[in-house]
Amino acid sequence: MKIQFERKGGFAGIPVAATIEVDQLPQPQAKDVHRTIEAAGFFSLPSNISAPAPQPDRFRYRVTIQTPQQTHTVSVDETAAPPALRSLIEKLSSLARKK
Amino acid sequence: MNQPICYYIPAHVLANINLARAKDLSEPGSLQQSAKVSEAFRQRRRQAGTAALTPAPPSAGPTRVPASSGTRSHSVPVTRGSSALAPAAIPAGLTTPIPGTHARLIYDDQNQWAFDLVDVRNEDDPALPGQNVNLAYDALGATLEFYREVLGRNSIDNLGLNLDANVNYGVDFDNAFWDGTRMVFGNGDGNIFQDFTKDVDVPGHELTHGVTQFTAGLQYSDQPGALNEATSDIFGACVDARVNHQDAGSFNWLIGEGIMAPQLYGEALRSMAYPGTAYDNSVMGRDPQPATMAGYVPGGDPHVNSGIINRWFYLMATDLGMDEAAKIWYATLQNLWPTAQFADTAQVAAAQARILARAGTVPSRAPQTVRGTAREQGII
Repeated sequence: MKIQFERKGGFAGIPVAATIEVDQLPQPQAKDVHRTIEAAGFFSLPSNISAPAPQPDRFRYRVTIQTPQQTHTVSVDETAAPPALRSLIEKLSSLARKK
Repeated sequence: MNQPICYYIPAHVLANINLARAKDLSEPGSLQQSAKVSEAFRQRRRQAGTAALTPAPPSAGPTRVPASSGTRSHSVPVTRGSSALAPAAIPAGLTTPIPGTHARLIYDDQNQWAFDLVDVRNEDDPALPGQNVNLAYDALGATLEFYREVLGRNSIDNLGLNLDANVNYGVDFDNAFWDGTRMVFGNGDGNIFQDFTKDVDVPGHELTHGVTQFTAGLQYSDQPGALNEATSDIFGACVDARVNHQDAGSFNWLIGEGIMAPQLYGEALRSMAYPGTAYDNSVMGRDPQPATMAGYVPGGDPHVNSGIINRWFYLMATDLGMDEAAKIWYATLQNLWPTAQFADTAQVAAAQARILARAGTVPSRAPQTVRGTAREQGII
């Protein structure tokens, strides 16, 4: 499973982009990522989740998850993310920072 | 604040009406007045809810009443804020601010992804051992002071809106924002950014988004978005310069230099004097801001094209003085509208400069400076 994580916006306006090879993570961490993706119902989410009006200096994320069976991309405003998707984003942010 | 979804009158007609009015008047438009009333009303409602959770003082023993704000509350159980609209009860020993008194309330979110968790310091309360609470408290105070003393504005809504700030929001959070109700600071990741309370232009910038929300309501995309972003950098810079007793000539015209992590010391997030030069390193990449309209990025992030307007303000301030340029910008902001373009802003600013020059507030050459610098920037 490969995850492409992108973040735009924020006070600094500095974009972040990272590729996470889930299978290369330590086993407990990889399992945790899989669990969080499932809890978010990621592959059933709409490809665009936007806030009614963009808030200044907030983040906008784009996450693409690719497995042998399917590939799905979700673009989401920070303020509009459902809680389970928010958890996934936090986890991926943390992994992206470590790269 | 709620943005209208649909206009009966087409946007371009509204824009022309606004433009014509803005050139003739120096008073804020009536739409702007009503926006302020809504947020002030909502805040009073929220704070009335908080006051209801505070029990009446016991009959025995004195009640200490601080000079400038409400009575000290007595022991109440600290409940966690469950939503943005229901802040926790004021804990024992903290002042209970009265709505509409431009009072500060600082909350510690304890590295949770939630707002207003624990109220730790309110207006007139003493400094705490933890540093970032006090930096937030002081920075909010400096921003309020700038708005009051230089622009004659009573807090963000001009009706004394109390200021709610949250520190320690989330984990390694590389951001700060105004969400329509509160100012929120992250700790930074330690790699690129330190705690976002460490540079006063951050809260100056973010709170100004609140001021824009209550005045022009500039939409956060394309040219209005760049104007919105630039306005926040402009008044953030003015607060920063004022705190450091600097003027247009001695100020560094940098945004965010104080929050850079140690390994990136000397870099900044934006340069208003030289857009596109704030940073250039392997960790952050290179500053993408254009310096003039020649480099305008169609559909660009508001933080990118704001460079054009930032430098325009820098040029005006360098000629006329920082406070004078700030007053022109503030008068302009009060006469703009959600879809205003760069060229509209130049026309309104020149008209407002004439009004302020006639009043003796800015030098008599101000209108020509406004137009000349706008032309230099390729805006007109």
